Amino acid sequence: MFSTFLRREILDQLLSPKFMIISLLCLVLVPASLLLNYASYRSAFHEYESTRNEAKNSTVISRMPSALSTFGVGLEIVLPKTVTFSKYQIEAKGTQAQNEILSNINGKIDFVVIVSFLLGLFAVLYAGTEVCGEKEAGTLKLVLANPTRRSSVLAAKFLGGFSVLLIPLGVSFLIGLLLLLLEGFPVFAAANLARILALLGLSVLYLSALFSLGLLISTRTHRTSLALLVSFFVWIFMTFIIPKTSEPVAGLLRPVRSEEVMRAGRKQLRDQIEKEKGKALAPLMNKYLSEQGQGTWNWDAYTKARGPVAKDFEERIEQTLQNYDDQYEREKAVRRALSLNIARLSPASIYTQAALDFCHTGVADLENFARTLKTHYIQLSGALFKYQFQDIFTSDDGHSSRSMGGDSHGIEKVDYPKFRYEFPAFAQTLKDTAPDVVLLVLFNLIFFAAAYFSFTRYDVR
Amino acid sequence: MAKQQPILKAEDLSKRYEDGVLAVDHLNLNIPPGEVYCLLGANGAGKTTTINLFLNFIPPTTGTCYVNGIDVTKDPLEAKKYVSFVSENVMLYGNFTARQNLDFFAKLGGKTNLAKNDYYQVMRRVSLQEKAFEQRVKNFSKGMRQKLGISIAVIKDAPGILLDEPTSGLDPKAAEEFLEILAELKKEGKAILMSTHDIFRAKEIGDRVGIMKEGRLVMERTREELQYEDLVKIYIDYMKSEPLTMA
Repeated sequence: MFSTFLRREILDQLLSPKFMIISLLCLVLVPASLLLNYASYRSAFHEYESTRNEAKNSTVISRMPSALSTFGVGLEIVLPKTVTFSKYQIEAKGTQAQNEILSNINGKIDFVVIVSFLLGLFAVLYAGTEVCGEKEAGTLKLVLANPTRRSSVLAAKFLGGFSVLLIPLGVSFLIGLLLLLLEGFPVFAAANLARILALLGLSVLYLSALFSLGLLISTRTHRTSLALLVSFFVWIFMTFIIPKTSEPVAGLLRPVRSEEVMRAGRKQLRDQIEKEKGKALAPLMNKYLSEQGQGTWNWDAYTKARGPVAKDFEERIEQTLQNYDDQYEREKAVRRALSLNIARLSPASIYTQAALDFCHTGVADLENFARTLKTHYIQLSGALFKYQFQDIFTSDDGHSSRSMGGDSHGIEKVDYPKFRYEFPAFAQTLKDTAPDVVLLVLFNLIFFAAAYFSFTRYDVR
Repeated sequence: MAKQQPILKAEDLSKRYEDGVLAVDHLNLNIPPGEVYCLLGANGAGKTTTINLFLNFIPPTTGTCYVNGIDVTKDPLEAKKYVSFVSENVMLYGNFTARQNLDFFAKLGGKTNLAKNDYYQVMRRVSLQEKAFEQRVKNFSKGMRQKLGISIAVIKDAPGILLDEPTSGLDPKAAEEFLEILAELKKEGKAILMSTHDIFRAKEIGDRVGIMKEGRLVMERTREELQYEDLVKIYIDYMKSEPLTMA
């Protein structure tokens, strides 16, 4: 009985105009977006290689773009191209978004966006009319006048309708991969292939959750016009309202200082200790570094003598700024976790977060990159920054000040640490995305179970 | 001669909807094999609700429906094996051909080993034009769809048939053809319950005719009794009057 329903469902869907429309859209959009994003990646990679070759030492580093951004651009567009390290400071420079203003405003189209938005919409609309459409057409009554289990009818609607929806996705994705191969994208590199397959699997899981949600809507409505309206509203709520309000809501619940306020606070803390350091170093400056033409000027003697005096202050600055930065990062991490968890109310958000992690352009990669920068800063600090100093001397009345900066002995022998950035391993990404996968499975089960219970009580008259 | 067991039976059947409307009020029906029972009544009299109760689409408030002796609320899947249904407006899968639709519903009805010719034979029997057999149903006229609907009932070969105003909206020729098929099914021993507004055809085909008003069966006449009475006059009188007790 089930196979009879399944065959009919598949055949009916294949013959419907909506299948043609979805197929056409997928066949155009998926391969085109893959090719365009791969071209964009290649351009970014070329830029990365030239800036990396130009860099004299590792105080300026270039971030390697992710090849898998071809599938999901995500944060790739806002992550810095280069980062400059100096004493007490890490400064990011240049993003892809600066050169692509319209893409920044409207968002880029990629495979993840196509699945999340377009196919997500189709899944919920497609399934949204499955049951009530048959009721409206009068066929459901005729079907259920026979010895047929409602569970078989619903299961066939799910499997038949959903498998037909996957055909345009699968075919267009395969064509896209083939074109990427021809363009030289290393599809079969082990690291890439596993991630591409995982991305495809995740897309199927997400679309099945939305299809089940559509079935639920269909079993709660009796007219296709109402079902389409409700499905569209639910889709807007899931793909726009929840993801776009999660961050402001998290900001209200857990306010975090802005970057500007944080920088001002950081500067104030540093200036205060610098001032104390300047006072402590003032006698040495007066002794060795007199104003021009008024006495001795012995830079070497000064740098040698200042070391023991300045050490405590510099360690205090380092420690204070470290604590300050850590505190700020913790605040941001708490707010980010809160906003991501609010966004997880929507399957679309869950899918996007996990899918971008598989493309190396998600939050996990942002955090991984930030951790790597911090590690590199610590290495640079031990190797280079300990020889660099800047002493500020302010007169007691505060009207005049002198600033002495430079390198103490040893800087010429500095062995610059190499900047090493490695994308998170596949196993790590699987571990990171496991909660999202579990949530998507749960959404699938909840929506389908609810649709089933609703359909068992559905008035077919 | 021993009295035959009814195929379709309603016992003290009532249905009150959530809004308080009493759609069927203590209905008793017995339709044995080879009998056509026509239910007449105005819109909202409870005819369609009665059929819906037989198909277990809605649960009864009191009483029970039996199909071939099976309580439809207790074992609906088993009961539905013994009954076919043709609605007022047979709607089928428009993207499928007539044969594909027939094949699908035959399989639902438990007929899994039929050949193409078996479907063609049934469609010929209901006088569907040959050229329509492999045409998509979405372009069919109402008459053609009704014929295909009855062919689904024929191919299921169930002992009971429920017809909900099947000739409504059909032209006279198509309606006449439809009734001819019913007469054949009756001869084969099918128990047929047909709700209709068509007094003349009810008199022509029905072995018994019942009139429903506000959920109650207010009158029942046999074919023999109707030879001496004017059914139109009886019907109009009942429609004008207050609800009456069983005559």
